[in-house]
Amino acid sequence: MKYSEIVSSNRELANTIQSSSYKIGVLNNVTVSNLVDILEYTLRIEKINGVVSLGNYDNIVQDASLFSNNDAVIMFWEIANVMPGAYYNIELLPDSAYNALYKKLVSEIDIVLDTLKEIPVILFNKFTALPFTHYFINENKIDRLCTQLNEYLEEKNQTNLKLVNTEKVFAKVSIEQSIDLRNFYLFKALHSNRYFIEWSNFVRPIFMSVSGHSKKALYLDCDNTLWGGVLGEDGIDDIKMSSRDSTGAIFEEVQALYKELANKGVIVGLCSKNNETDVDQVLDSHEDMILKESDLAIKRVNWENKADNIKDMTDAINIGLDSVVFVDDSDFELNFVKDKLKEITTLKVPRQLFSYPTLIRENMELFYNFSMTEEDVSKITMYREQKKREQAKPEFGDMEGYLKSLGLVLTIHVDSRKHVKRIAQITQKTNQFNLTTKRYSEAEIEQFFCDEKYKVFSFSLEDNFGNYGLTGLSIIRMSNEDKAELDTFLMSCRVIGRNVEYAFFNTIIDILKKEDVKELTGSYLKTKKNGLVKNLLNNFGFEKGDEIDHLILDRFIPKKVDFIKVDSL
Amino acid sequence: MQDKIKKVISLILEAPIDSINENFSTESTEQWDSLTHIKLVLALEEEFDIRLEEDDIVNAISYKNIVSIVDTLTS
Repeated sequence: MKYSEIVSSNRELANTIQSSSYKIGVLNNVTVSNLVDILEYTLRIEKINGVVSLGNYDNIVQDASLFSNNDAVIMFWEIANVMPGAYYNIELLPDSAYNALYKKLVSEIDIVLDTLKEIPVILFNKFTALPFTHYFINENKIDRLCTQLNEYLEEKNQTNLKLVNTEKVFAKVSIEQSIDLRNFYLFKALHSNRYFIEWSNFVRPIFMSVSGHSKKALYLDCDNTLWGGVLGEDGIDDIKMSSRDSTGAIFEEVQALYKELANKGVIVGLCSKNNETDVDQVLDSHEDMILKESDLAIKRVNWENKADNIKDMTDAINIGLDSVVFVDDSDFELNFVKDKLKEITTLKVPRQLFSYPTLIRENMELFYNFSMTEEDVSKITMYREQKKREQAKPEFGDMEGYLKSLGLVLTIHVDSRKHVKRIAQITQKTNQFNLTTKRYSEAEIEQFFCDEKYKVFSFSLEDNFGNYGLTGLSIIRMSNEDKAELDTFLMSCRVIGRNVEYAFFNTIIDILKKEDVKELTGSYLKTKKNGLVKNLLNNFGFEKGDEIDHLILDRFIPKKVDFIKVDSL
Repeated sequence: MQDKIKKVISLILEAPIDSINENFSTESTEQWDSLTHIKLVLALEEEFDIRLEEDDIVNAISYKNIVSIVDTLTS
């Protein structure tokens, strides 16, 4: 796309986009003005309303504080311009001056990172002198300086800091197309429009992740997707998935990539038209299968149409269709599914098999997770446990009996510091059972712990089949002596449908009563995804008001949920 | 060609197309500063598939001059 087309499309999108502004600040010591429209456009087509402001040229330290309330800050801190003519002068510096420069830069980095320690995301381009040193075999002083500074950054234990390896962007675009020295000499504009476009594409998954837009589930067909050949026709012995032959080698590689995703907490499932027992036999006993039963969270292997199966699987794991990626080799299946389920992302196994692994690599970052937590890594275990729960369901005639049989235990935490990372993550990821959809960073949650006015309630849930982990949150803000406000009330999709929200809310009210709170106010902030909690406040017993709803604690009647055991810590 | 130039200038400088005439220059237009100048130069180069010399960049400070420069480079 041409730059002028991007500018014009960006302007149109700015006028029509619904979501609230996602404020991004760019601190820079080179001219990056063309980045503004390019990055905004890249985010707006993904429905993130990115609004980019530039700090003043070469005022990185001074302008950091301007952005201390932003949603994200990007550092375009070029080594080429850290001092006048750095890109040729650093080579000539005596050791003492070189060391002084290093120390100065390190203390500036400290100031900037400290000023911005509360914001959710800092994208820091790693220092590189590649545009000027890619000609040379040996490492230059300026390369050495970059290495030292990057090592310093890597050792910083700041959770909101994400280092961006821009050399990967150069590798993709080529130095020649990334850097326009004419513009650098005239305007100190080092980077080309093409570079900004590829840089924006490279970091896009980060923004998708922090605004809850990253994909969560990957559904795979089997025949000619996981293995070469058709199981029903070729038989278990002749399907190919091993590097013993060139076709099998491709399928072995993509299975390894899918397994990598499963290990990172992506929900991997099968959606195949086959006899279930045939596929199970392959999963259990084929010695070349890399993807195993234990990697799969869910399967629909039958002769029904795939759109129904996919809808069914997605409902079962309680996510949105727009969080799903589906891979199949058949145009027919993909078109059918895409036609019926417009929100899902589909990928077709290329006819040229050698391009298949690349296609997957190109799309793996759709699942990028900005802040991996233990919950992510153990998610597969949780979904397997969920499979077991579903298998147990048919034995019980009624819901109540079934829920009782689960042996649910709810553990409530108040202002729990050790869960700060997970608490922040759950505000960023939860879209459906979320009353107000307020997104908070770890620093903001820490702030709430320190502030007497705030109480952060969270819960962990387990049952006879396993542990769901920390899956619910409510943030209460005391407004004055006896009034409080329900700032946040959310639960992870995995624990919906068990009336846990009632047990949680009952306990919160108990605790608030002990603190002499007489009235709790709250409102439902409607979004496209949270229709599920439209009536939540009403169900809790709030009285509807003009702008906000009220609950008088003395009049609160807790809903009976005796099949859930509650532990308060 | 003049229409295309006006379109690019209008888009990049956020100026109404009718205001782009003989008198339109960095002097007459507040939002035409050094930062928007480089955006404009790059956009014109991309649009016409041309490459401006350093002198051209320095001189491209009015609609009139831009037309003359683009004309020279595209013929």
